[in-house]
Amino acid sequence: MMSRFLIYIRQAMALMKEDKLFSCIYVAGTAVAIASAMVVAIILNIQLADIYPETNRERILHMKSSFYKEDGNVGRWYGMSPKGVEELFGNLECAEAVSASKDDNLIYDIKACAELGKQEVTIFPKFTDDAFFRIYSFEFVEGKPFSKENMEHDDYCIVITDALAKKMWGDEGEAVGRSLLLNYLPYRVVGVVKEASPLMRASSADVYLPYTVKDSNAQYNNPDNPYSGAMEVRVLLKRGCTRQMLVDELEPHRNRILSELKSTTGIEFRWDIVAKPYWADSIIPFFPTNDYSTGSLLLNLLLPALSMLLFLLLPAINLSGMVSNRMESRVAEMGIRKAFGAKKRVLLNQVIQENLVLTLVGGIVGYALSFAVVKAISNTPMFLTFFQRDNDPVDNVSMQFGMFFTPTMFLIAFVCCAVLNLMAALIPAWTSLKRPIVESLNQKK
Amino acid sequence: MRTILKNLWAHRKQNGWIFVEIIIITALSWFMVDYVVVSAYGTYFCVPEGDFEKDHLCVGKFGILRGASESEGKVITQEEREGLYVVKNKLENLPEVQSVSLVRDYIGKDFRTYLWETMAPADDTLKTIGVANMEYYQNEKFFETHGLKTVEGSPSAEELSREIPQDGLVITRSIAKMLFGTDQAVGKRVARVRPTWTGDGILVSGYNTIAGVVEDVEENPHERYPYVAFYPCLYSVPSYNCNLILRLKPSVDAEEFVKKTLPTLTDEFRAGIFVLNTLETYWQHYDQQMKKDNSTMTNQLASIPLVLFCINVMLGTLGTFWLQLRKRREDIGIMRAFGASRRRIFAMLLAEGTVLTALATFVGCFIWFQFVASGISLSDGNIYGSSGRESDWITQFWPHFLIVSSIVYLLILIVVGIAIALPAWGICRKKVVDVLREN
Repeated sequence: MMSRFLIYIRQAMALMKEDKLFSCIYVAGTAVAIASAMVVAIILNIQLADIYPETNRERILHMKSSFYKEDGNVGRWYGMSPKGVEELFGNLECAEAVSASKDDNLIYDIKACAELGKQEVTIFPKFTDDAFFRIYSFEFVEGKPFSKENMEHDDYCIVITDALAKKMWGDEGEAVGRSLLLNYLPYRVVGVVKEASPLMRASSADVYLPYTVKDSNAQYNNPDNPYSGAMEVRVLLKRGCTRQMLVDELEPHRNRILSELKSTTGIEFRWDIVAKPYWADSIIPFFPTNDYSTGSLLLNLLLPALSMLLFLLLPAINLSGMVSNRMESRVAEMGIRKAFGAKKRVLLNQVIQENLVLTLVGGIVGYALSFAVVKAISNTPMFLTFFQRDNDPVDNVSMQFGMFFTPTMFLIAFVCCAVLNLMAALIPAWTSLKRPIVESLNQKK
Repeated sequence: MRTILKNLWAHRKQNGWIFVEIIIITALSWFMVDYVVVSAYGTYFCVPEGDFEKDHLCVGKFGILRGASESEGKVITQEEREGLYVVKNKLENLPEVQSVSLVRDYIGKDFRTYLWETMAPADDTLKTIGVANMEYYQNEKFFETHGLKTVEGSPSAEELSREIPQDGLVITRSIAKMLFGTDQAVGKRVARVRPTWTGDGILVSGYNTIAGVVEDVEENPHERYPYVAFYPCLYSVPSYNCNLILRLKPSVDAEEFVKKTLPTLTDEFRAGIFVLNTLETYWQHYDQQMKKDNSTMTNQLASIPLVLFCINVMLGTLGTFWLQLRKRREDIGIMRAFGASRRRIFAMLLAEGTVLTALATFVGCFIWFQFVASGISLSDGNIYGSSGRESDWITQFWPHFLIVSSIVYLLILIVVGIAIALPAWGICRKKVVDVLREN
């Protein structure tokens, strides 16, 4: 079997050399198809795979809270206050860490500069807490995260990225201990982390500030309801715990808070708490649902998968045309082999395997091309929209090796090649091999 | 024509694949081309006639300087607010500057978050029109600094900037014409309306009197119709969220001015708690807004599959025709030997591609037509401002369908043409003897 496959490869190489033009166009067509499909796959990979610093995505839950009054008033209050976070998530059995951050949608323009009068840079801040650095695996280049004590004392201390540190002070030594002006207010740098790509929406920022600083507006409370506010909560589940276990554990706390609210304010509130898996906030929900099972994830991946198939199907029609052309010129060869007893299945197998060699060459080129395409468009607002970001004002959008090259991605690329090969070669080869031997041999004239 | 059809039929097996591919690509790309064409038409071809002069306009934004323990978290006082006017006066005293205006918003400030409402004549609230809203501070030279011109019969830009009645508003010429059939609309009353929740009626949320009519401008370049209404800002004064627009003298180069002024902003243009922390030319701001605008992004997003489809068609046609022409060398050699010119053979091959594309595109458009007939609507370019009574080609079905179908045909024809021209030119260039011998 293996030796036969090697013969096919040798034959395919010989055919490639013999008909360079055909081979070039075939490889180019395959490369475009694979590149198109792989760009979709790379976007999904960035949205779903474990990539620095979001290396625990499987265990991270995004908690969404919304309060509304039971009196029929349509107004809703999204988010929680620090008090609400503390009381609801304070002592959970199945949570390894709980972090609260100010809702990114409420953050306004912040400018950073090393000194008044020096270059100002618009930055993307994240107002968060010390637990944030336990949920996401940041690599500290210098210093350490701000602590619970810093937060309790309302300290103006921050963690910044190495990219911002370089932009602000170049290579002038350590950034820790220096003062950075944010909207002209001085903050002390306590830590420098390796920059997370802006494509990691949940964790990336240029500056991480304690949400307790007055500038953050995070202390916003609803006058009617001290539990609603501007915070979003992320939970890192303990290993072995499930989303449902967390929901069940929250339920009694939720009921207690609701009854307390009713007794103190006299208002009947309804409080929805949804525990979303990380992917529900990452991918574009083509079929929005409140069901966060694996089935729902697969349903939402259906449209990207169909687009990948479409990107393969159209070039496959092209390639089929070309294979059909080539089969025309090999009809006599096939006729002779059939006359000497070769079975249709064996011949079909041979054509498909010969073709697979060309497809794989095109696949490798296409994979490399997809990497180049994603790199080229990574700074465009259009590309960033897939990751719910506008731009990266401090630096170009940084990309990591794990976004492109993983065993899963290689497998996807190979499957794409195999599917494309089958779609392109099967019909023309089968049609050609169906001809009677006499007719095929007649072509030899 | 007969020869062309005969040739196409003779190579039907190879051409069949291209034919099928063009049909699928036509059907798939129709709605993308539709969106791109309609929105490009709205952006680049629907520029209002009386649009304001932007080459000498600059825009800026104020930031707030505060010590950690000072007025952080407190309301800005009247005294602190004076800082804004100090900075404004400094700018006005520069020799290059013609006028400066403190503004809440300026035209084209943010393409993403401009506000819309529905308006109608006070005596006919069913004759509605969607318009972009903009609030401006009074006595701030808003209209003249923008360079907005008023129509004949309307108070001048200077008068409109100073003060208008509390219920007054200023509209563009096109709104006046759509609502009252004339641009002489000063003094007429309009109602601000919205549909009821049930959707079967109209609710009036207020009435306004037209205080002035200005020449047409667009709030967002992607909007096809220049429907903008300007309301005086009655309940707030310039404060922490303040922007400014600055008109330079005609002899001054805006880019040079910004380049020169930018490094001095935090030192020179700072007063009290306020600092002018951004300054850019209108066009710089405009370009940035265009880049991150949703319409631009949707256009780019729709263009990517289009480009991929075109590459596919090109590679497919190129491969098929190249291989096909190798087999047709003998025919072409004999034709040349009997006196057919290179140009004629080249034209014949191109004509084959044109006919193949025409037939396939026709079938593809017909398939798309079935979708449209079953309820999928044609693109309106995602615009907000319209009355439903406009009568350009986009709002009429047949002109719209035929124009977009023609553009789809042309696009595919160009791609197929290039793909055929390469191998055709290669074979036509060869000498007759060589072609026949090679065969």
